[in-house]
Amino acid sequence: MKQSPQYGWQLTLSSHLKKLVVIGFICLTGGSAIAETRPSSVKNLHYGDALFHLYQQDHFIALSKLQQAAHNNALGEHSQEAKIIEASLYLSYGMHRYAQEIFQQLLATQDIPASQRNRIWFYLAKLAFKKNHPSDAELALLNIDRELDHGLDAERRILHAQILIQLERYQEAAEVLKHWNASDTDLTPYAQYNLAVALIRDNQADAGLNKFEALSNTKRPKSEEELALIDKTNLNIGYTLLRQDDNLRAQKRFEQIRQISPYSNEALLGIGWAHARQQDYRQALSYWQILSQADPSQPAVQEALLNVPYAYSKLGASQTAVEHYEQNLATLRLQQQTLSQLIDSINSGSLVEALQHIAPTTTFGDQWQLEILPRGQESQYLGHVMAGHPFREGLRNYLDLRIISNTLAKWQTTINAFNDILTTRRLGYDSKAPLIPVQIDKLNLKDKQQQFRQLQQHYNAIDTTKFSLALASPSERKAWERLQKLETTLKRLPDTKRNAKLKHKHHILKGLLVWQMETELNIRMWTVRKGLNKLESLLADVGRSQQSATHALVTAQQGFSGYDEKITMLRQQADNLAVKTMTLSEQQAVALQALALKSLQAQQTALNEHITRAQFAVAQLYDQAIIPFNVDDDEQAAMKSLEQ
Amino acid sequence: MTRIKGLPSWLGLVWVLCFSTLGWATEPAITPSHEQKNLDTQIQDLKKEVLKINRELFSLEEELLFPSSTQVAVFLSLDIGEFFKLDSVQLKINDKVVTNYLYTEREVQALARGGVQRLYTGNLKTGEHEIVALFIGKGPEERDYKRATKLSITKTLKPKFLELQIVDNENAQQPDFAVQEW
Repeated sequence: MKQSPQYGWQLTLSSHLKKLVVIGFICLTGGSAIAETRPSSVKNLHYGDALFHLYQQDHFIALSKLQQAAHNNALGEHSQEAKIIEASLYLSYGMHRYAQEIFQQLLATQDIPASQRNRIWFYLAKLAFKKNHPSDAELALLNIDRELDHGLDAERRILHAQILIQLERYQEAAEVLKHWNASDTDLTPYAQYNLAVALIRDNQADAGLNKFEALSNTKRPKSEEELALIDKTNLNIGYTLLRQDDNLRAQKRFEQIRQISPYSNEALLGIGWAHARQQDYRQALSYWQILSQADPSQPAVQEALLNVPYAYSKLGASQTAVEHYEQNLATLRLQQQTLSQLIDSINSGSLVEALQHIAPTTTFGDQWQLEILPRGQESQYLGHVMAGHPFREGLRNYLDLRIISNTLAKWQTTINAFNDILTTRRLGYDSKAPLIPVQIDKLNLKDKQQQFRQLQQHYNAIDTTKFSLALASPSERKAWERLQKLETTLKRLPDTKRNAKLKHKHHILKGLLVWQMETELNIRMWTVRKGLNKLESLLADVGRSQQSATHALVTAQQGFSGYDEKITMLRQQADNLAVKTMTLSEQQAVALQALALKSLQAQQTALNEHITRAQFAVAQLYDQAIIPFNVDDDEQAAMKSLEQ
Repeated sequence: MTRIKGLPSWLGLVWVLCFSTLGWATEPAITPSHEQKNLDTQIQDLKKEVLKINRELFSLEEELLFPSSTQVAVFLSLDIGEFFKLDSVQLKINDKVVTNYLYTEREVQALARGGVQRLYTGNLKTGEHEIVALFIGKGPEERDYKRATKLSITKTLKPKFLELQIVDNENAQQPDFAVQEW
């Protein structure tokens, strides 16, 4: 709960008003278009990824993903379908102009399937209707040459009827809905409602009323929205019957409206009038008295405050009537004061300040529930403003801007993180890159490879000559050297028996050593071959690593080079957008303030008129003895006011 | 691959309510003032610019964090899902757990309607790698169900996209699990 210091604002909304606001708001957004545009199958991961977010109502992410995939030409055969979804998402964000652009571009495409073409014409018709261009909407609808898919045809018919009603071609509107056969859809009650409207406006009041009757008498389970619609239907029937002087039937209609309903006050007022028109002022008084105890900011209650003394005067209780007029005048003046204070408060900027305290948490374009109202009785006055389409659209724009502002702030953090990544990479490169050539030089791989080749040649020579001494062990080599020295010494000795023994012994020992070395030669050759193979593999690995390091010296730079300009540009753009967002937010807040003031001033004028009427009635009662009180004129004035 | 079901019932209700309400009104539709129209146009342009920069930032993020030479992305799709109610998925690459994902009802619904989840994005060097996905949920007749599927892949210098598929097998009345390379 947030509160501005200037005026006691709070983030609440009465349940009835909330329903009305939400019903109206959801209807007027383009959100419904999104879910209708589902593909028959998904054959692309990126498209499916966007749908995954779309189906979870993460519209901003879905749109970003679609745009990124489209930018990378990664949508394949879903490109056109993705375009329709993109346009639908634009609609849900209130970006009608861009949605229309895409739809028109798609229509200019030769190979677009007829089903998609028809659906696009349908959306264009909706757009035109929303923009209050019913003739354009009708022209768009006339381009549809076959039944729409995905159950949209029922919606198309209702839209067509709506357009015709707005063009005041009521008979044609009734014709469009007369043969409604989609009895199993949820749209049926609304088709009936619109049909009834068209008939009544086509001066077929009885037929229209019958349709209303059928709608309100429907037996199947109903949603809250449908119940509200039925209440509204009963209210409209009631007042239509009152206008036709069919007071008893009107009374029954009003009595069918739920006690807890957005229309219960108007129903009580209507019942009172139904009784009054049957000259039963006592009954009328009882209903109006109940109503007069309700919230005096409600127009119906303000009307009741005048009707109670009026009924007393009709019952001949002039004194009581005067007392009630004076008492109720005080209540109305209090309301006048409250309303003036509210207007002053808004003029001094309290609404703008309260708007600034809203902390939107979801992505922009979502269907906002309007939860900003001042504390206390004043909320009812503003509730009327907020339930209006222009205010809802304006507030939605304002909240979208706030979310954009938050998104831009997050981007600043993200862009800083990108910078950090690049700085870390650059530092890592700068610290390691100079060491790599040094290490490569130190390793001197070419010399190592040359050595290996020499070893290989040596091995080959041994293999060819089978020269076992080449692979002798150190002890064998030592022994061989000793035997060689001994042999030289023995050669110098004279030929004696003792020396002959020594030479024989030397010969045996030398033979033994040669035998041992030659026996081991194959095993040693195999071991050396194995070692050489391993060395070859190691040298190859080192070669690859060296090549990779040399390559990395070049490619690693690509990981951080060339981004600076891009990041600077994005930062600049984000900064510019932040300033623009701030300016537009302020302008939108001021526009909302102007809308609120305009509505409140209209309510103030109506309240002033009530007060004048009451004062006039009191004066008439005081002068009753001299000038006869013209109740019929007063009743007519009251009824006219009520109808308005 | 992924089939769809009927339109949500609320959709039409919501849509028509809008026009029904307008249709009943006796006064003409309110036309916004010139100032409001102008403001609205400027806000639309701003949103468009925001979306454009957002896309560029997404691309930049991907380029920086997951360069195409090392990028690997694992997606998950669910075709119908009548024989398997997905609770969670564990993904291992080269025997290392890279993600454990627990699904909400809303996410499962989005998958069942044809959405494809980007489950994991990471980096792998070129060469051979092994991907293992473990699916946990409820199988036919609400029984606890746990199944794994494995795939060996060769990462080249191009980005590698994999799709974990959960598909209803009508004949076996069981779910099938597979990994497909794109």
